[in-house]
Amino acid sequence: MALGFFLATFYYSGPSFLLILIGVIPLGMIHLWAVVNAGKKEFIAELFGALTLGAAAASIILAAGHFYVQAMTVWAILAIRAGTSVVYVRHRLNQTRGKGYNLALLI
Amino acid sequence: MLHLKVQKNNPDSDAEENILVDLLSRHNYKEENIIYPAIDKLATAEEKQVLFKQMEGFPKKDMRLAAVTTIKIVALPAEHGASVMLGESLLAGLLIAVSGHGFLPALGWVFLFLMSNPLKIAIRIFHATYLQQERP
Repeated sequence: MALGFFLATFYYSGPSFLLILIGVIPLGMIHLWAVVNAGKKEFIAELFGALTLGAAAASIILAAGHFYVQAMTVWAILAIRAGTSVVYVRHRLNQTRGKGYNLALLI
Repeated sequence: MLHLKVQKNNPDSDAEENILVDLLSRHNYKEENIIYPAIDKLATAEEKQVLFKQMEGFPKKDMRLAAVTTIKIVALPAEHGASVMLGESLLAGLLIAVSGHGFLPALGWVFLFLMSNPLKIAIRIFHATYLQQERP
């Protein structure tokens, strides 16, 4: 189904959005690798998962005919927002459980 | 450990989940490749018939519930944060670039996201079954 919708996008909007999908493959692979080898790598899995999902906005923007700069800017904003959320939630959970956390990072 | 963490609503259970998947994968592998073929060889035709009859007698309601629960566990991603992040990303994209063409990749991303959990489970099972067989 996903492939069908991406092919339809390619047909109606051209190949510009494919750059995002190609760019997101290594991020998704790192995410999957970290998920399979979980344990100490949970942070990497969460971070790269968040970065991968941020690409959805960029691909929509490119498919709608906007410029790469706009798409990349939105992706960067979403990536920063997701990255900080992941760090914040992890430290907040550690704080709740009485484990080690960095107060400066939380603030 | 996993049971205690679930009881205490502790979401920090990825490591235990991986151990469980690893253990169940080995269990499954041994069932499929050793026990079932051995039963096929040893059981007589009458014994097999009795067994199938007994299986048909299982309550249909319970079977349906088990199937629905399994589908839910496999198909729906467990991480709710990830669903929110995808929703946020899709919403941002669709609001910034208001266009009919934007809905096609958005739907593509939704299905890609739904595919991620079964893919992760399949990779974990493959990893545990075929790549770590030599581990005790």
